Amino acid sequence: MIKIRFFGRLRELLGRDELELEWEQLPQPLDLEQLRQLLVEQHEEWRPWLMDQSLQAAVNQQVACWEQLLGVGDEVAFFPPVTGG
Amino acid sequence: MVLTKIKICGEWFDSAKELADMEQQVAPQGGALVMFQGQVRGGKDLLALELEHYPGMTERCIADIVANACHRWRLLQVRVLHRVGRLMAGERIVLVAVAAAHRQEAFAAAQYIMDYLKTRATFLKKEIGASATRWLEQRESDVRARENWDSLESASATGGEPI
Repeated sequence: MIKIRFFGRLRELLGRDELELEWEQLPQPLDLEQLRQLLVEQHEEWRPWLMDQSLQAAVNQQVACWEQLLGVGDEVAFFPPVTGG
Repeated sequence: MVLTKIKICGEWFDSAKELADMEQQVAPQGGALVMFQGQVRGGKDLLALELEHYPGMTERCIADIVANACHRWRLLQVRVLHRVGRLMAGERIVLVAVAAAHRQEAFAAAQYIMDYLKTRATFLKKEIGASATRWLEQRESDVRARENWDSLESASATGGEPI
């Protein structure tokens, strides 16, 4: 299983805060960019938001690059540029 | 070992108490204590903020920022408190307090932590106005403030000892 979480504006636009995918049903090896493509294929309406240039991603609560390989049990998060302080 | 306190909280925090605690704990070698407190800046289109964050990752981001600051400057104690949830205009939102032996370190580290916190810690702000709400975009000036530190860091890395 792999858990995907959405935050902020993205969460509102997609209308959900998380989803889970069965690891066995995913192509492997699988990197972050491939996972994003897969989500866009499954949810065409998400394309403009998930393919946004400014989209940020994290794997297991650490900032990740799009080439990062994913493993079973990973928690992936997508969010817009952050605004703290 | 630098004492650090990092807290994400849903309710009001007592800045004066944090400062008093630090003052006591860093005595007598702590000659400087710098505190920055940020409040929600209100306006005609901003009555409140709704702050969302990524629990777990946010604390980790802030811990990394603080660790980097401790690596750059000789510090005695660092406290970072940040509120989440709904905050009305005028309410305090963030506290960064740094204690060091000397003021230069304390001033610089407090600014460094704030500059990174703005664009690296996983907070997301939504502005609540009288008639509309909107998610806040990253500000160019905030990104530039952080990039200034980044470039200083890489300059000292290339000119300093090999990593």
